[in-house]
Amino acid sequence: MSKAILQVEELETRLYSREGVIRPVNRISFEIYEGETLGIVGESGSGKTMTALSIMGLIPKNLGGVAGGRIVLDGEDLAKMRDSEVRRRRSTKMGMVFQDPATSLNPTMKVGPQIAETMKTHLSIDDRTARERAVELLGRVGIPSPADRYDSYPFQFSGGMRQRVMIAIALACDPMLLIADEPTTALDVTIQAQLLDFVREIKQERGMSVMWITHDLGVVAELCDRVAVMYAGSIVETAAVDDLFAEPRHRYTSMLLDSMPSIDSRTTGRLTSIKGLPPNLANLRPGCPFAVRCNAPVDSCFTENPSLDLVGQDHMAACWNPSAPKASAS
Amino acid sequence: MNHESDLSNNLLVDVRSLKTHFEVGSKGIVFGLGSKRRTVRAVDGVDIVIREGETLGLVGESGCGKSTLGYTILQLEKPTEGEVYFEGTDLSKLKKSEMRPFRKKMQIVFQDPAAALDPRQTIGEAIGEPIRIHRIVEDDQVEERVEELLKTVGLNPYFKNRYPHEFSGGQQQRIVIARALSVNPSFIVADEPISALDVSIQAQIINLLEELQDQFHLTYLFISHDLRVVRHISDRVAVMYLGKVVERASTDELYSEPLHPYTRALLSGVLSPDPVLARKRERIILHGDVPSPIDPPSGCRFRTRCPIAVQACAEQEPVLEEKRAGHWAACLRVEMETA
Repeated sequence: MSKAILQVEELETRLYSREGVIRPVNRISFEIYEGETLGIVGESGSGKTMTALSIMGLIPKNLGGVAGGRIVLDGEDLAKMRDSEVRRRRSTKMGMVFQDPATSLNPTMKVGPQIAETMKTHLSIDDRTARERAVELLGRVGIPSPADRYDSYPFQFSGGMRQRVMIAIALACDPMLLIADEPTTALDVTIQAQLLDFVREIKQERGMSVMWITHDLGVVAELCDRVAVMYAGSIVETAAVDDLFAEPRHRYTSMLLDSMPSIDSRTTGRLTSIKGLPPNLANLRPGCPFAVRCNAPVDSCFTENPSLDLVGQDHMAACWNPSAPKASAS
Repeated sequence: MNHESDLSNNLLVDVRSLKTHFEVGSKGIVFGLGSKRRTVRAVDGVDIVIREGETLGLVGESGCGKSTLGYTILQLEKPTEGEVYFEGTDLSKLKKSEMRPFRKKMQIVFQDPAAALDPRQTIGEAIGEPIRIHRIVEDDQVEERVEELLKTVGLNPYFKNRYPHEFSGGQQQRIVIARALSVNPSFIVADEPISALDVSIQAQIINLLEELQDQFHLTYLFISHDLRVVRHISDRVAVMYLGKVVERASTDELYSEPLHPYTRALLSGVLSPDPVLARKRERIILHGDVPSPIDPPSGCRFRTRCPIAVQACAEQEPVLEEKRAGHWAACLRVEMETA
């Protein structure tokens, strides 16, 4: 087995809110191996973005921060480092692409210099080399006539092109891990297809690991090697992508998959919907956070939160009453 | 010729050669001098019909004019050219006062329920307002009607004195739907009604829309970029690109035998939640972005991104033709089926 680039152990992140302290990330553990794409799926509020921001060290101090656990990137525990040390590892070891490229780029600065700036900050190179490399990167991420577009402003690009610029910035210092937070959500389908295709290519080329955050199970099926499903701040299931879709074991995962209409065949009758709403993190009841919405809860679901346990080969689920594996039926 | 209205009766909406253009850009200091006004051809010659009780799915990428088409049908935008017949009356010729009786027959549900509700109005007031304006029931029965509507959309009537911010996105969308239903409409334009909602909530709203359709015999124009949901909910589907309908057919026909290269690319870009199928599926990756509707390409508007375009596509604008029985497409490269 290849080596783990990132190991997250018992990560807990706290935020201070008016309703008290909440834990958007509640003692989660996972790892990302060399060259692997890990998908993190969940709904809004499930903690997937907070997980990414915790790893990147980007949670504003006045709002909260990492309260426990380890974040081991390339052998070093980021959770124990000072901010300045984490900053040095952003860009050089991990790069991040955010959901909305329009608000992530500086609107008053030309795009080329935004890429060059990243390189000048972290690598000891002169202005000219930085410019040359930035032009090269712009070309690599698929911006036509990159030398001319170096001097364009973000508003002169379309949404898909801006997201390519964001990726160029994230890749500027050749990181080993790319964290992408819903980068295609704001884009149209045909542009999303272009971007996914491109990410697959560049990942192959650089042997990079990718952590891809999304709410779209379709994107996961398309792009990822392994998946972690998050619900209310916890990872409730992890598996290789084929196993997760063929044999979802956590009830949340299987209900979510059932609720999606298919593109390949027509669903007849009503969709299987999940009743209720995701829980309020400030007011979590004892037991499994999904219990009240679950279609097959048992008594222990309401008293004790299940831990993430092995339910098959490299397949873990945190469920007191997991769905039966389909294979055993035959 | 490219119109299907003569094919069937019970038409509720009949849109003919509809164009909605917007003037943009700054006027010069002296009128006419240095004037840079240009025209956005948001909807540029669309013919569609919607039959009573059916759901017509309208798909396309952002900027293709699908929302503008919806608004123009409802006369929330004035058409530049063409007609919109609703129950046989041409709405585009009506004065504002003459339009009023039609307003309560046609309603809209928007994408973002938080923006569609007045934050300072209780949800009971929001739902009651159109009932009072259109005098649907006597004033002393409005409250009762509001409670009934809340129950219909699956909310507790007890919540009627609460404000929109006290509800989740899915609940807010239920409130917007209750408000649309309050005037007993026959036609509802649903403009991306689930795009702003979480995955686990989307199915709830889709089911609600379907239940209400059965219960009240509603007709829907369902505007969405989500081709999975459109397949589930629609009876027929129209695909738009840069202000034009490029293909339209029954849902099963369109998804199993797409004819237009744009529809094919759109469908191939839909990601299936099945990694095994995903690897087998042949992807058509379109290059570049959608051109500007201010200055659309000559001939076929899709030709700049089309994988099968030929010289003729730049010279001749394809018309929407019935290439197969009941299956219309606007493409020079798609042969007519010889009967």
